[in-house]
Amino acid sequence: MQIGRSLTNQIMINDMKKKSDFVMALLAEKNLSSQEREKIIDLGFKELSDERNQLLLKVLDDETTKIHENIKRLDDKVDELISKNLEIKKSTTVVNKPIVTESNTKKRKSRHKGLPKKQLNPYWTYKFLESYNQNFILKSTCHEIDSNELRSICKYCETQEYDFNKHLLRIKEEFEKHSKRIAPPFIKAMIRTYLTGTNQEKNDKGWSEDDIKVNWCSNDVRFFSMSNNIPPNLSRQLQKQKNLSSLKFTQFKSKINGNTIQNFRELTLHFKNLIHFRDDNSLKSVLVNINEQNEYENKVNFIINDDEFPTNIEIFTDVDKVGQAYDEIINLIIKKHKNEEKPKVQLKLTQTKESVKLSIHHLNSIYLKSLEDFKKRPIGQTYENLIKNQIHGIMNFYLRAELQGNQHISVNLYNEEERIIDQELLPNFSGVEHIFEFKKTK
Amino acid sequence: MVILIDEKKTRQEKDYNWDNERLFQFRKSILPIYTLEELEKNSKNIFSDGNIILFHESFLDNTKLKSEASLRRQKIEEFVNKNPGSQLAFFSGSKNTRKMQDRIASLPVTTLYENLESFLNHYNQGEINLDYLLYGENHEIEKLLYDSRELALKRIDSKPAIIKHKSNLFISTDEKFIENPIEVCVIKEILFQESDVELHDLVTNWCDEQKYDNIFIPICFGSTLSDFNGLRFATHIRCTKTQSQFANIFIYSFVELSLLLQNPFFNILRTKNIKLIGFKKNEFEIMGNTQHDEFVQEELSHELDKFYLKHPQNYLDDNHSIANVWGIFQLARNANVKIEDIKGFEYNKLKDIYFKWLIAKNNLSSSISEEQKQEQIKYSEKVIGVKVVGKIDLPKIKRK
Repeated sequence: MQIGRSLTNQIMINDMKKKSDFVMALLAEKNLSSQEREKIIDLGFKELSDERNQLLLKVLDDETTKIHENIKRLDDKVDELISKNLEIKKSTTVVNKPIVTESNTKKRKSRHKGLPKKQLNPYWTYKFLESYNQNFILKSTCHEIDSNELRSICKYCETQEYDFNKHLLRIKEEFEKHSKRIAPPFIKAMIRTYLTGTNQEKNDKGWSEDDIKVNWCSNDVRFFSMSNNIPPNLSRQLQKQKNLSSLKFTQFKSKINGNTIQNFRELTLHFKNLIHFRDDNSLKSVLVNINEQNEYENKVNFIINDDEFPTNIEIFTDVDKVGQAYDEIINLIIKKHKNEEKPKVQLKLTQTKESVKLSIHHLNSIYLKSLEDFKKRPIGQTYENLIKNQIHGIMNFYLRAELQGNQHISVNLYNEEERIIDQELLPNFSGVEHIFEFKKTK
Repeated sequence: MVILIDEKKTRQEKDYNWDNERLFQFRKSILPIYTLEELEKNSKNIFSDGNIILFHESFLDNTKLKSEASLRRQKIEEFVNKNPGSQLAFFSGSKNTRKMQDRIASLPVTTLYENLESFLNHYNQGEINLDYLLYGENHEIEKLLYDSRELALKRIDSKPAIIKHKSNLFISTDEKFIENPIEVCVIKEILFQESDVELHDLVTNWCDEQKYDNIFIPICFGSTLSDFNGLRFATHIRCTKTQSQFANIFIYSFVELSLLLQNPFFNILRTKNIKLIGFKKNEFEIMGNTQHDEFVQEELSHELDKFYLKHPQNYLDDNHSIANVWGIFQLARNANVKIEDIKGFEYNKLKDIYFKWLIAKNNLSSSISEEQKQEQIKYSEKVIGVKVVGKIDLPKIKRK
């Protein structure tokens, strides 16, 4: 594979040499006028520049593929090390609270066979995405580019004018450096596919839940940027000054807000929306959109009070996964609801300095298990899938519930700590409450 | 006081034309802050009740406070929440939507600078309303239109319209457009063109490439949706001599008819073969396939007489200028001279929709008839030239 690549590159270099020799031989002709010489130089230069660019791009692609392979290996190792480290830490944890714990470790291990070994603190996801957003070069992939930004990119790329290939090279280099930080591999993979178009499975699957095929390395993007000497996500205002059309592609509807994405500038902002909840892309708006898309309002009575669900809270996380996890919980509520009246679900969002908590509280129901049964098997198939596919690395997961037989529990279903079933929940607590916790500090 | 906290001075000046001079004009109401040092030095004045804070979301990302940027922004929000006289707007190049809740707004940077002047003018008159910043002068209608357009796009049908045996021109916008609208059609895209001169040039280029049977135009394009530029564009098509001047025109719209009533070009909808249709591909199909009575040159004058256009606002101070432009046009036409060939005359003035409408309505777009030319030649021969009756030596007359 390696030999094949370098052989192709060598052939391209040889071709270039032949062409340059040919141009030199032409120029050596004495009968040529100065205009003809100029023309030959122009044409020769153009031919060789194109070849040079192609070669440069090819070498870049080869290098990126190599780096990806190494990064994947590293990611796997880092995950393994983190898990091992956390396992060691866990085994030395002392539980002081007067609580009911799962006593049989052997049993617990067998029950959790399908789960990730240990929760990866969601703080790392927050930090990874926040610093991506603040990184001086990576932020150009989640903001539109204005004059200030354009100047910074040129300065960083050491060019007088914007050069897409150099910009892209810097983005890739910087991301590979950034990837060494701790974060769930699927987040790194999603961003890598957005930036390079290459996923780890090396198939044609796009990035994010929308399966988006357009990425920073798409041919159309390259062509558009190189032929106009502008970044593909130029601000609307600079676009206006240059009287340029947007870089368009086959549109798609965003799963998180239902908006139509039609051009690359919108795509970069969509990417930002996939990693950052904030005032104009609030968690509330995403959840409300899910309710609308799935017509949950027909099946569930939602209670969302403005003062209990602020829309200005910022969270860096995998927005897609959060939406999916919410969707799973609502489906679970609908499935488990046994009363004649519609399920009443209250949504709340609270924030402290350390974390943000989303509460999904099914008010008119109880958890359909006895305490004993719950203790035997706290994580059923639904929770297991949820943890594996959506929760792991993104958020901590808690349950507060009224069980059959008028028992009340509060349990950390999935976080970094050992699972503890606390029965000291207030006796007047009613319903079943699932809580997602997003960490902002360690 | 309005506090504008944005470290990106180049963007401010180069992209949005807010240079020192322009900011100086509003110095009594706006204080620009460019650095963390300035912010810290003036923090007592800045964070006092009654101030309006316009904050670039990434301002702290480039400072020593980078790691706590999110927390600091939260504190600014807390300040505003505690001070009922204050308001706050976060703006950023990573925002694509406008939002307002409880005295706190968020908006794209382009929107902020585009509407800043309007907002400051109202602020100076004592009207403190962030909606002017979010949606400009016509903020109530603009907001409605933005939301309606987004909704219409979400609901658009996927199957393209099939219009048989007709040549179709579909005019689209660069953003928020209808993808794949008609199975067989020519698509042209309006980028940032809004002025009469620009629209005239588009019509001249696009509508003369071939004779179109149907032309589809968006109701809204340009920087202000509530200008309903589609109506003006349709008027341009009717008043410009091209192969497609008499094509059926369909203005596709997500706007309630009542909102259009006050538009100066509304009555173009009363003229022959111009229809307002829905923002749906199946309506394109129905309307495009409907057989309409042919519209011919002889009917144009009568149709254009169905509405009245006011003279352009930029001529208000000098009514003579309108008469001058009109006079030069008439003189050139009667003398059978091409207006483009007249030196010193700004031909673009005749691209103004007002003059185009006057010319088309009065049937003056074609040159004078051969018969009239011959008559003029005969008549000019009869006109006696200037007869010199005497001379006055001006310098010898004493001034009184």
